[in-house]
Amino acid sequence: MIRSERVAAVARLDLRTELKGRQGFLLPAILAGLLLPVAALPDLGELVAPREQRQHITVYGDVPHAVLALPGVSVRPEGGGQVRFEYRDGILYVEGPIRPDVRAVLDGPDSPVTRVSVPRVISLPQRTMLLGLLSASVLTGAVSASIGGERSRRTLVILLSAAVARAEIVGGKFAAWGGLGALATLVAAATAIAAGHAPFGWWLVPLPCVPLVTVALGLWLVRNATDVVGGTTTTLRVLPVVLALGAIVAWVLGSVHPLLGAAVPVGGAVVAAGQTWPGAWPPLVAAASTLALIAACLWGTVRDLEEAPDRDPLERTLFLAAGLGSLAALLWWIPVAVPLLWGVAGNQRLSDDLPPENGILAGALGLLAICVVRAARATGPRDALLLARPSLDGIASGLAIGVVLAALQLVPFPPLTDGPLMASFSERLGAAFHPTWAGFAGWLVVVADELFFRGVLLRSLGPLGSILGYVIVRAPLDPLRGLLVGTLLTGTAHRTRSVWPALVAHAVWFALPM
Amino acid sequence: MRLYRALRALVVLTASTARRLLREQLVVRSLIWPTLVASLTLGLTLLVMIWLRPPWPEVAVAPGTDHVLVQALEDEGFTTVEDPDPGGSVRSRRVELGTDGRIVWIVDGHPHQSRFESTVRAYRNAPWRPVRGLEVSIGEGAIYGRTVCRFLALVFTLYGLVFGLGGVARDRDDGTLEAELALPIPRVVVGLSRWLASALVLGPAYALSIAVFGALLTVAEPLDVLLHGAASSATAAAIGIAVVGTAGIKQGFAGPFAVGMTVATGLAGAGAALDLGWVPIASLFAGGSGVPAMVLAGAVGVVASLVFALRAGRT
Repeated sequence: MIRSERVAAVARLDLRTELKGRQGFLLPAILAGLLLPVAALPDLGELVAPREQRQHITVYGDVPHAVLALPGVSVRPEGGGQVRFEYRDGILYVEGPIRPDVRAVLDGPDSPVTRVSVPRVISLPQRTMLLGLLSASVLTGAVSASIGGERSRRTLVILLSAAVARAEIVGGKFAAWGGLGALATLVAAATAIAAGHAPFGWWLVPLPCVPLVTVALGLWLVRNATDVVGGTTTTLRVLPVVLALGAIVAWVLGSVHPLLGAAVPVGGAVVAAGQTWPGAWPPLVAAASTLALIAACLWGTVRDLEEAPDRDPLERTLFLAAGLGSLAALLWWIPVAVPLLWGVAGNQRLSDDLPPENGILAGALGLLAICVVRAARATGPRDALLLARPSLDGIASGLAIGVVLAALQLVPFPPLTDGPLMASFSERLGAAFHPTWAGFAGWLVVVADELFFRGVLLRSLGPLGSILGYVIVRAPLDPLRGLLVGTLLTGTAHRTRSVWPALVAHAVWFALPM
Repeated sequence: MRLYRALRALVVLTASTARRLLREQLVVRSLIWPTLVASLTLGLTLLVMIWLRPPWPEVAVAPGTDHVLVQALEDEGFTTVEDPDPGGSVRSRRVELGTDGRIVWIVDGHPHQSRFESTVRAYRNAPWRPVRGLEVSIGEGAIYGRTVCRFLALVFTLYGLVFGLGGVARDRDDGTLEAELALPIPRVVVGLSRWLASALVLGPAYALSIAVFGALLTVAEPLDVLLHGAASSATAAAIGIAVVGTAGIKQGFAGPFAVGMTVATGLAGAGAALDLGWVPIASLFAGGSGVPAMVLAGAVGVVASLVFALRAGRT
């Protein structure tokens, strides 16, 4: 049972906390300062000509003199202009939007080919879309502070222990900031209609849904935030991505059928608020799908408001393993392997020219960054990274294991690769297995490998987790070698309770072939 | 002796504030998020490009079109369909590409329009050809890489604002700030340590972004890009510390934050238009050496800490 007077009281309290004092006028002022110009100023879109008809273009490369002599053409010697010219084998290749007069001078009087362009009708969102987005962006701080601030002030505990239901707290906060955002967008929309920049229509239905869903999503995102810093950094990173991605997906699907785009929660409302789709149904469907998401977010916030869901130890370990493993994999795979995709996508030149050492360096720095964070979180940083002082026996066994590993380099293991491309992927992912080409950056990988896999992972997940993580991140395409190397190095660190002997082993293995 | 004690307190407070930031899971996720999202987007875009490779869609060709051209189109991966009126078919959008050997009909924005026109032009021995996606050289890749890193720096700048502004508001709320202000050290040390900790956490996180894009595209003038980005995020933290006033218990956080966000993004935009390469934040899109911006960021940090000490003394 939700009591409306309590919801209103929580909403009043939230608004009063954020809007009081000398600086209380700032938020409404910023809202008005951003929304009213968008609503009332003349439409700039009408002043921008289509790409092919722009009066001024910038060109670069092997630009013919006849093109340079055309009005409105300026050259950018350093590159990065709109149209690029390049001679190859006596043929001029032109990349970019080509104006009709540029075509005419390139073709000369006897045009060998005539191009007839059939315009594609694309319905782009109008400026009214901005009203919802701007209002949503201004509320980021308020939403983040509403739960995080209450937690750090310890007033959330008081509210929760008082006779106020969790649903009433969440409902009150949603009413306060969602209401403010929705009201601000509707006032701005009324201004736009009064100024004659937008017609009265169905787009007014999904428009207030944009700030409402932003607030609902924001509350759900910060439901476990302990303070405003954690809350605000979360909303700052997630909300723009959700709004932008949702809008793009809705617009693309909407080009197939408006109702398909409108059914995308958040994105459908954003695009429909921009008067993109004709008729009543798309805005209504967009509002309905977004309202459903709002309800889901609020329900999730109410459920988790009190405290983070308690996980049992196994679930916690699996969660940690998944988090650490996927983060390490992404930080290693992206810089090391993605440059090879340029070649597969059609730009072999860039793929060949990109130095692989850059990727190895970035990947190693990524792993080291995880180690730094884990060390900062631990009570004893040395303990978190297993940096205990090793015994002489341990160092001696490290030396011996290093020699064994160097000898194993000569053994041809059957890789899971087929063809030179996959072999390149395998070689790059296992950079620490191939000292001869990894070079100086490889030494950084050696240190990062040991601190992360034999330090952080071994300490957090045990030997099995460390070995599996090593195989998945480092040698997914050469798993037998990865398994053997991982077992030897992890075994060394686990037996000696220190990462140093494994580091010695890895360093010896890396140095011997050099 | 007092100076030594103040310096020691500065080091200890800076280290503990930086550790507190790194211990917060949401903050750490946010630090890695821009780099991961941007680089994953690039990787996924490349995968989509690979997926979108041939076969190309169909082309309407007029009856009697030279079989050499038809063969050339099919060699390029197009499927040719004989059509008595290719122009009419394209206009009515039954197909999006059509030719009779001399005229090409193209629906604007077709993803393979340049390749199609280029094939017809090659058949007609035309002196030039339109092309889409000329291979980006490593030099151009470096310019794109720099642009991506500049946008990422803007995100870190907003984080700087949150660290500066939110950090003080949070600590005032939970009583940590009052405890620090009660220490027998100059109040400026409290503000300075927060600013330094924010800069020390944000700078390396941004450096990781540059390293990743240095691998994916290379980055032109990486050191200057790093200095501009570090200067911007440090300056944003300083602005947050200076303008926070009594945000927290006594006043809301949302208003000052909205102002800070608007000022930071406005300053970045203005910097690109006015070429303010020496003003931190404004210098992000202006370019030039990053040293002046970094020096000024240091000065702004010190001044902000002094302002914070003055305002904290009044509260």
